[in-house]
Amino acid sequence: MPVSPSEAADALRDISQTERRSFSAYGYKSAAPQLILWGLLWFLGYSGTYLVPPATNWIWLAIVIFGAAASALIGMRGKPRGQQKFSWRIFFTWLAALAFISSVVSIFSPFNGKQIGTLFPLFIGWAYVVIGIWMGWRFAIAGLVIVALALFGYFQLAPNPFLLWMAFLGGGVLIGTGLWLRRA
Amino acid sequence: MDQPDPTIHQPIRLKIMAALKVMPEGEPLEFVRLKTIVGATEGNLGAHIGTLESAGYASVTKDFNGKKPRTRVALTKDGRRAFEDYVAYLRDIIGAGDTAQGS
Repeated sequence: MPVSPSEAADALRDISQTERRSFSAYGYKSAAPQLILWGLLWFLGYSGTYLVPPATNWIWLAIVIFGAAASALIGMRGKPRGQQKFSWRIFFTWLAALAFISSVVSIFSPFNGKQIGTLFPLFIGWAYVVIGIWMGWRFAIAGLVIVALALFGYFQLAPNPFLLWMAFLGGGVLIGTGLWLRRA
Repeated sequence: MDQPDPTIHQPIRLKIMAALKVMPEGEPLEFVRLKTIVGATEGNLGAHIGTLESAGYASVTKDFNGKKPRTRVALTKDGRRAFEDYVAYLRDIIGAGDTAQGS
């Protein structure tokens, strides 16, 4: 049975919509465990900074390196057997993010702790907004919530409560978003 | 291709193929996610996946994720090729239609 041009156009539209939905679902599934991991690390980083201020730089360096390696290992999961390789792309993506923020800090210094503590979440939050524009609105919502929390904390809270605010609410939003995406 | 591939030329099966095509090669999609993406009932989706599997276009694996049983579906190499051919066939029809309207 021949297919008319309008039926062909409808079928191509269906294909395009389904591919977009599938692409989002794949992104959500892949990102969910990563967000949960980084939510926990975020909590440890900010609460560690609150508890041991002199060790702040070492705490965050250790967290980013450990987190980059753990992210890459998580990226291996779910891959078919034979394709389970350590994901160097994920590892270097996080190191590049660290390098970017360190470069920004180096040219705009001196920063106070609260400013640096806000810079990380702003960078991550806006990165999620951009990812959301391309891959699925849930990322954008999570990004905007992180940005809003960071800005509210920066402008409204004193330095110490700010660290706890980011530890519990910032980390909590990432973990909550990870659980939300897992069900998407 | 003069005629559409009858296995793919069915709206639900076409959506299943489109959803699986997005996955990296060899990587399966869970049945429950596929159900949400395609918007089909469980029984309907299962029947269409069976048809695609019989045609050699999809492969189905069943295992356990912890204690939960899990069914996953992936596109085979033949399935990927057949889907690409089908999309090219649709594009040709639209192209031919445009040419006919323009003349």
